[in-house]
Amino acid sequence: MHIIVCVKQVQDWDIPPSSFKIDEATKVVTPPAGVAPVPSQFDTIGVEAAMRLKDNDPDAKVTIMSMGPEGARDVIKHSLAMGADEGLLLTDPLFEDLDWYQVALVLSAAVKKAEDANLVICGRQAVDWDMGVSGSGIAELLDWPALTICKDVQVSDGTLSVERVLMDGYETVEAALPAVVTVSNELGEPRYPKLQQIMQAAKKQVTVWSAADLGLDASQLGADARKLTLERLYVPVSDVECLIMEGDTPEEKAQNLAKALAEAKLI
Amino acid sequence: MPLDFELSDEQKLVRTAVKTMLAKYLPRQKEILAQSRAEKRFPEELWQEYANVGLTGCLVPEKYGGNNMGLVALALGFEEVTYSGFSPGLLLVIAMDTACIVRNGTEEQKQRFLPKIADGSWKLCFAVTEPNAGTNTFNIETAAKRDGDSYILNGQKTFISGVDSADYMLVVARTTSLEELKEQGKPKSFGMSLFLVDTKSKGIEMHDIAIPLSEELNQFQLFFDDLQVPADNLVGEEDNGIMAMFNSLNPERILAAAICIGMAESALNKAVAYAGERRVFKDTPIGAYQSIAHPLAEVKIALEAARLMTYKAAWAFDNGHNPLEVGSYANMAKFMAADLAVKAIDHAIETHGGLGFTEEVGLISQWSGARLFKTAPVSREMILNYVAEQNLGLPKSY
Ligand SMILES: Cc1cc2nc3c(=O)[nH]c(=O)nc-3n(C[C@H](O)[C@H](O)[C@H](O)COP(=O)(O)OP(=O)(O)OC[C@H]3O[C@@H](n4cnc5c(N)ncnc54)[C@H](O)[C@@H]3O)c2cc1C
Ligand SMILES: Cc1cc2nc3c(=O)[nH]c(=O)nc-3n(C[C@H](O)[C@H](O)[C@H](O)COP(=O)(O)OP(=O)(O)OC[C@H]3O[C@@H](n4cnc5c(N)ncnc54)[C@H](O)[C@@H]3O)c2cc1C
Repeated sequence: MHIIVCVKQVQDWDIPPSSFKIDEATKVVTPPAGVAPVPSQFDTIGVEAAMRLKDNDPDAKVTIMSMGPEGARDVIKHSLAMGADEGLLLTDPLFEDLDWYQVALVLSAAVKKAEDANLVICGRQAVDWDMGVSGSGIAELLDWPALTICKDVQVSDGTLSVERVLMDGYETVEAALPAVVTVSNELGEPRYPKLQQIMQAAKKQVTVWSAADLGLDASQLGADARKLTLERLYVPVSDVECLIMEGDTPEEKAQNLAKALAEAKLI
Repeated sequence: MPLDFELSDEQKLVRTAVKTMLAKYLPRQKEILAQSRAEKRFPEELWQEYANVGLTGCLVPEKYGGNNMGLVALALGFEEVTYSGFSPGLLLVIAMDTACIVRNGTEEQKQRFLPKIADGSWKLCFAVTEPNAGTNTFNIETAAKRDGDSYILNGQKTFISGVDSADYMLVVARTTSLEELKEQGKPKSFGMSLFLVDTKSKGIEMHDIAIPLSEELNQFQLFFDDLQVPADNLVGEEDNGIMAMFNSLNPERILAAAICIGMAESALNKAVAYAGERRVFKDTPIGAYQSIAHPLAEVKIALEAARLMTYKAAWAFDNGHNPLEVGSYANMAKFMAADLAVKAIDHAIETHGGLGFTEEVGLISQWSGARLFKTAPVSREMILNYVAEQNLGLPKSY
């Protein structure tokens, strides 16, 4: 089994939103200087899912694939230090400023080029733009089944079995490999890299592919080929008002709450 | 060769690794700290995580089960631990004991101790201070007399951290007494030896010293009464332990600096966040007042400087520079970082107004933790003496 985990480098979500600058005119977000980017939260959960499969099947190969600038090597290193085998960095000036379709095009082309890959794992969504379409997009372009928002991923005898998170519980779905899986935080905490593994990761190979290596060019990756137009980028203004229900007893507070909701014509 | 201030990719990952390791404890942090303070015990679960992530193995060569990432990596790990509001517990003294064994121990001692230190199964503490020998280490009186295959130790130690949870302690004792030195006309620096002592041995009496610090390490006064130590546990040469000891104090000072830097950064960030939100007059956040902003800006400057000094000291240690040179950097780093931590926390308290004194904000207990590092493991005054003598060549007054 050869698992490719897609890991995106994003801005650290721990930094307060107020420290981001948004230029509405150019539709560009500028993060604060000097804060190191991190792997998208759900993607490290994807690495965890892959590593659990590898724990059960030590012959499985786990490749970490990241599309981004040269600096995206850092998130690959992070995942390699979690125990993955190899890294794959997709970097090219043409890869800057793609829409979700073009991203899926690049990632699926790389999966195809990797030839023996038979399971792709993505996070349910990237924590920066929250689109949640890359996994399904890759599956569509590869014509593989997509199993989204999973909290458990198992493979036995070439059959994939996952538990998908639903609003009111979960469902178990099976599919034959090859397939694409997206994982959710319900899968559990990702393992942390150990210092020993960080040292070992330094020796692991990271292959670099450009657009040309993937047989892609500006006709597919240029601005004209975008399918998505960004209309407006702005910080939403929140005018939520907080109302504390007064009352001496919980019962009285509940009555006041019911009254308030009725007055607001919500119940 | 170009001057390069970049950490390596691997070193950068260390803070991330430690941060991820601690993330699962953060939601329960208050509870964990309250429990360990009540039980006067460092949480064992957290200790095993420290070992698992590799903090106990940074100074241990790979062939003895360590990761050998070095002191820079360990310092980064320490920064993250205290930045996150946890204490490194015995990691500080273990690091110096480890350095001592790695650089001075016999092959047999390395095989016996290092793998157990690296995997977290053995904890070590360090005992040099005596009631009449704190700052003046040469005054130690604890005697070690050779008796067949053993040494017999008699004497007392004080302020020894973590003996209750340690499996072994590295003890500094005199194999030649001060009187014998006088008769032989030898200097006070001669005649000291280092021993790895099993803390469960017969002949050790422990008395708890009440020190209201927030870290989960207890201090003890120890009495050795015919304490028998196998001769195999002598580290380095008999009578010539002093250099081995002083060289091992360097990593302790460097890591003490890293602890202070983590604390200072955490206090600064807390203060900046509060100063940006809190409005006292009109709609102006107090962070706009220069009387609040400037002290925080000064802390930021001192933080960057102390961090550079600390990394330089750790780098010099990792690269095997002359211990006197490492000692200069280590002392300067500890001096800057301890002053910085106290100042950072004090300004954070000031910024928080009355809230700065509450348990919820937690700055007061951090202040006492930071204040310790102005005095121990070496005092400000002794660092200034060292710099005046070693770096400036000024005459010694004592
Ligand atoms: C919480 C805590 C934990 C500790 N843990 C350990 C441990 O694990 N192992 C261990 O061995 N020790 C430990 N110590 C001891 C610590 O290292 C000593 O307290 C420290 O070395 C100072 O020694 P002292 O207390 O005897 O002070 P003293 O030597 O009595 O010094 C008193 C003051 O006089 C100053 N002074 C002394 N001589 C000079 C001079 N020539 N010029 C200028 N000023 C001078 C000192 O700087 C200091 O300010 C610990 C101490 C504390 C508080
Ligand atoms: C242990 C304790 C006991 C107390 N006991 C009492 C009591 O018995 N009775 C009582 O009424 N109160 C009491 N207090 C409250 C105390 O008087 C207030 O905490 C104090 O007045 C500061 O107010 P604050 O905490 O709201 O700080 P804030 O007003 O929020 O100030 C925060 C920081 O901003 C600074 N700041 C604010 N405005 C400016 C400005 N224009 N220029 C420069 N800097 C500025 C302040 O100096 C401070 O450093 C007590 C507080 C404590 C901690």
